[in-house]
Amino acid sequence: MAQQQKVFDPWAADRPPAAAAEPRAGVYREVQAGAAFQAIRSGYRGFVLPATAVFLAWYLLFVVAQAFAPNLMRRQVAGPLNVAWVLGLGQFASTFLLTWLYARNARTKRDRAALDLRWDTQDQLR
Amino acid sequence: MSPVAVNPLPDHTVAVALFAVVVLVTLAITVWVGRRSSAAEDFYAGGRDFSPLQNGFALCGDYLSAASFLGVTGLIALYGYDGVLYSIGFLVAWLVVLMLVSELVRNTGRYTLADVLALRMRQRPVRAAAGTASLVVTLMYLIAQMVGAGSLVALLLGTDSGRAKGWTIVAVGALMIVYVTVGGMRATTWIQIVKAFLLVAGSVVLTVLVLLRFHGDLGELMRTAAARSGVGDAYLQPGLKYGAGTVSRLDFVSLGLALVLGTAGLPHILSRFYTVPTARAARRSTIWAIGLVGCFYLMAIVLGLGAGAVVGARAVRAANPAGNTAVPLLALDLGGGPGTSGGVLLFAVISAIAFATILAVVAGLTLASSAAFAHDLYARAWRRSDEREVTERQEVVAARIAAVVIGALAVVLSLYAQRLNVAFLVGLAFAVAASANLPTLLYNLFWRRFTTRGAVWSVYGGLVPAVLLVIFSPVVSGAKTSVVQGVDFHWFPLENPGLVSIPLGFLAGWLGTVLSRESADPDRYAELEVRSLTGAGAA
Repeated sequence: MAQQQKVFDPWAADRPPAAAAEPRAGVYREVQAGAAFQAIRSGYRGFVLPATAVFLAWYLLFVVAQAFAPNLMRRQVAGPLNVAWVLGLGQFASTFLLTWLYARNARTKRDRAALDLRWDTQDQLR
Repeated sequence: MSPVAVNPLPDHTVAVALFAVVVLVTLAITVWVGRRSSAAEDFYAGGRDFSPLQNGFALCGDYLSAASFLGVTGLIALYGYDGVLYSIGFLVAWLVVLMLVSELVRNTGRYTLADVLALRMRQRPVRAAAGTASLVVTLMYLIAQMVGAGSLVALLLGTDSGRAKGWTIVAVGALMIVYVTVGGMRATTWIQIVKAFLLVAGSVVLTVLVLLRFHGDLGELMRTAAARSGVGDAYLQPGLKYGAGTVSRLDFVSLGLALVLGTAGLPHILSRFYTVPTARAARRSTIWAIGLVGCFYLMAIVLGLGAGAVVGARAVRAANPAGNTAVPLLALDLGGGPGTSGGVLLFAVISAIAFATILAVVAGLTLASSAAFAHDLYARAWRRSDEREVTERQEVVAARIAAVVIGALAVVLSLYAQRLNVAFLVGLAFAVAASANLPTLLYNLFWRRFTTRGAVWSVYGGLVPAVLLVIFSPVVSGAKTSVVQGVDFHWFPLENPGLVSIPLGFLAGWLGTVLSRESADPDRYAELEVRSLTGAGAA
C-alpha cells in the first residue's frame, strides 16, 4: 500500500514496524541534520520566538496595567485620549506591524529554501 | 423609547423578508456547491483548492461571531473603554495563529488538530484526548452561538416569548445540519465568504455614516458618547465594568489570557488551514484574516461609540440590558430614525447580516465537531489495531451522521442553557481551547522530548480543571446571575478559569513528559520538524 502511493501516508494507521519505516526515518534524520534545514529552522525560530515573547509580554503588560494601575491609565494624553486608549490603539498598530514583519521575513528568508528542500526531501523518499 | 419594544410591526416585516432571503441564499449555495463531495478530502477540507483571499475571508467569517458584531459593540456602547479589551484580545490572538500555528499545522496535519499530534505520538490515546477536547470546545461554542441566536432573533423580531426563542434555536440547528451534511466544507466555506463580505460591507457603511454624522471628528464622537453615557469621563477610562475589587480585576486578566491564547486552539479555525493547498497559502490567508479582523474591530469601536453617542446608553440598555441590539438600533437611527423607510431598511439589513453571521459560525462549528468525532474518535481512537480499518466512505458517512447528532444535541442543550450568558460561554470556550488544545499543540511542534503521555496529560490536564473550575465558580451557583439558583457550592471566585487552567495544561504536559517511561522518538520528531517547516509530504 505504502509503496504504491506517491507519498507515504503516515496517518493511515499505526505505523508499520521498523522494517518499512527505517529508510524514511533515515531520510528525515539526514535532512534535519543538514545545513539547509538548519538555516531554515534558525531563520524561523530566530524571528518567531523573540517576536512571540515581545507581543505576549506587551499584551499582558497592557491587560495587567489596566487591571492594577488604573490611575496611570486614566492620565490624559491628547484631546479625549488617555494612556489606556493610546496603548490600546498601539496594540492594533503593533499587531499589523508584526504581521507585516513576519510575512516579509518568511518571504525573503525561508520560502524559497523551504520549497527547494521540500522537493528534495520528497525525491529522496520516493 | 426604543422602537423595538414599542412598535415592532412595520420594522419587522422587512427584517423577516431579509432573513428569509439569507436562508434561501445559504441553502442555494449549499445545494449548488455541495453536490461533488463524497470524498473525505472534499467533506473535511473542501478539496483544498481555495485561494488565500477566499480562505482569509472564510477565516474572518468563522471567527467573527454575533458575539463580536453585536456583543462587543454593545459592550463598547454601554461600558466604553472596557468593551475595547475584547476587540484587542480577539485580534492579538491572531499573531499566535500566524506565527506559531497556521503554517506548521497545515504542513503536518490532514483534517484535524489530532492529526498533528498523531504524526509523532501513539495514535489512539492522543486522538482520543484531542478528539474529546475538540468536541467539548466546539459544543460549548455552539451552545453559546445558538443561545445567542435565540435571544437575538426574538429581540430583532420584537418578541420576548420563550417559544419564539426556542423555535429559533431549533430552526438554526436544522439549517446548520443541512449546510454541513449536504454541503460539507465546500459549502460551509462559501457561506463563510459571503457572510464575511456582508459583515465587513455592512460595518463599512455604518462606520461611514457615523463619521459623516460627526463630520469626521473622532474626538467629538468620543466626547458625545461619554456625555450621553450617564457616567461622564469614566466612560472613556478603564474600570467601568471590571474595576470593583481584586477578584474582578483578576477575572479581567483571566479573560484577557483566555482570549489571546484560545484562538489558536479553536478546532474550527485550525481546520480552515486545510482548505488551501500549501503552507504559504495558509500564511497568506491568515494575513488576509488579520487585516479583515483588525479593520472590523477598529470599525466596531467606532460603531460602539456611535451607538453610545447617537442612540444613547439609556435607550441601548432599555432595548437589551446586555447591549446586544446597539448596532441595529444605531442603523435605525442613521437611516433616518424609526418610521422612515431608510431607517427601517437599514435596520432590517443589519439585522439580516447579524443573522447570517450566526448561521455561518454554527455551520463551521458543526463541521469541525463532526470531523473530530468521525476522523479522530470513531475511525481511529475507537478502533483496536486488530480490527478492520474504517474506509474513507464509511468515515464520511459517520461524519454526516455525527453532524446530525451533534446538531440535535446542541439544540437540546441550548434549549436548557438559555439562561446562560452568551459572552461568558464564548469566554469559556476560549479558556478550554487555550487550556486543553494549545499547550499540547505547541509542545508537539516545538519540544523535542515531548512524549505521548505528555500529550495526553496536557489535554486532560487543561480540559478537566477548566470544566471543573467553571462548575464550582459563581457562574454556576452562588450569585444572582447563576445557572443554579437556591444552592451555593461555589468555592472558585473567578468566572473565567483561564488564569489557572491554562498554566495547568502546560504544567501537566511537562509533568507527563518528565514522568514518561518511554522517551520521545527522535526519528518521528525529525519527520515532524522537517515536514512542518518545509511541507515535505504534506497532504
